[in-house]
Amino acid sequence: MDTIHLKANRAKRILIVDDDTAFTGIFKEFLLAHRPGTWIVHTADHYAPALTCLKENAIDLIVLDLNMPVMDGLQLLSLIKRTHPAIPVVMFTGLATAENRAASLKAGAALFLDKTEVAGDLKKIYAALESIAATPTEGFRGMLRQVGLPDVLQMECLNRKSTLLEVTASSDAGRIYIEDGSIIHAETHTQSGEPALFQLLALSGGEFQIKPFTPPPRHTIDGHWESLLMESARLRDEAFATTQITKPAPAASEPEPPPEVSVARKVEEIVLCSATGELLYEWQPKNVDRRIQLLDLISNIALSFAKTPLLARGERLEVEAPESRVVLLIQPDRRIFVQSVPKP
Amino acid sequence: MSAAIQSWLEQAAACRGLLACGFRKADRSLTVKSCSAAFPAAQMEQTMRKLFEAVYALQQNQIPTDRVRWHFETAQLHCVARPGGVMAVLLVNKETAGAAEIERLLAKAPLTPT
Repeated sequence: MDTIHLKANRAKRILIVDDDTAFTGIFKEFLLAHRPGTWIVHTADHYAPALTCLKENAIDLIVLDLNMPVMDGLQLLSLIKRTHPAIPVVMFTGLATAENRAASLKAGAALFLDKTEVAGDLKKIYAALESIAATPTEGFRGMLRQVGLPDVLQMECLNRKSTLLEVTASSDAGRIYIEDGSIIHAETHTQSGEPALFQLLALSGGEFQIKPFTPPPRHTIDGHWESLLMESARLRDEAFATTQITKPAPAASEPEPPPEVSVARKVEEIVLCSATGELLYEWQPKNVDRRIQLLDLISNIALSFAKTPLLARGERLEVEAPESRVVLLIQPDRRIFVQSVPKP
Repeated sequence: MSAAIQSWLEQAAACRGLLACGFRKADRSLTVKSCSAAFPAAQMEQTMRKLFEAVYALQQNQIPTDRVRWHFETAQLHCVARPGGVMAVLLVNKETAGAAEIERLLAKAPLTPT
């Protein structure tokens, strides 16, 4: 069978990371000679030059050796999947055990190859490499276990993009429409609007594809994306907590907590700033300087908490009262303050 | 008051998934109870001091702190706080604690002098 030809005309950039420089040399020569003009080959003999190369070049495919000094291939794979989730990674190793294979695929490798089987005849794997590097020419794909759907939405909204996000999972599928950085519509097979958005954001796995924007059948969402994502996180937490409950029968004298009532809310105020306190976005802040000071203080407390493993990664602080709800998100690169009130 | 606090802490300690609990009185004194070797009483005292800093800052920003939840990767801090520095706190394991039981406990916290 013929090899699959790359869809795009441009040469694909491949990064080969292996401390066996003799092997990377042979591999590089093979790729350049087998189908001239198809590949631009970068090599690295350990993680540091590999990460530098990833920063400086738009790499289409990474081939990664498993057994390397300092940071092994699995650790590097995990790091790459966090920082560059869209780049496919092929693991290539002389230690092709079932355990290594399972761990690599679990960590997000697209393919796991036994170096001892194919090193003598690299033609055997050429078709596979070409196929994996042939990413779709329009939009991009990703796996929800590699990068969260909220992260994707956040990136699209922060960059004020207009896109159509198609989400598919074994249990559900749907679409999220983003116009000029605002989420304007979402739909699944059974729901539309905010319920559909929250349903899709609650998926624990699946695939997404970002496509060019097309106008939705109608506009069903008008909330700010930050508050929508926070509301979704809150609903997920509550749903999770509810599944964990085994309710003991309360003693007759014990007061019953008030029933949880879902209340429609209206965002009153938003402040978004960088980790250094630079204001990035504001919407009706009562006192922007005080909000930034508050975010800074909460961030410092979260940092001091993080020294204790149980209090590591303070994801969200929620402050609730009948008249208002405030959510503070402290992330490595930004801090967000959102205040909402019940809709009349 | 102290007996009511002790009683509340004892009840809290029986809550599934509870790692530690504590109470801060208006006179700034802390009473804490640890239910997990992973989070000793001294750690809970320190955590409550930091949490109070956060609660105080929120109150200074005119944000009512009736109910405060701080979500971490594996644990959650649940707190009810009143102006004047009174605060009841539960630290729970996110995966094993029950939401209804937490709410029931916090509703019973002796935040007002009896």
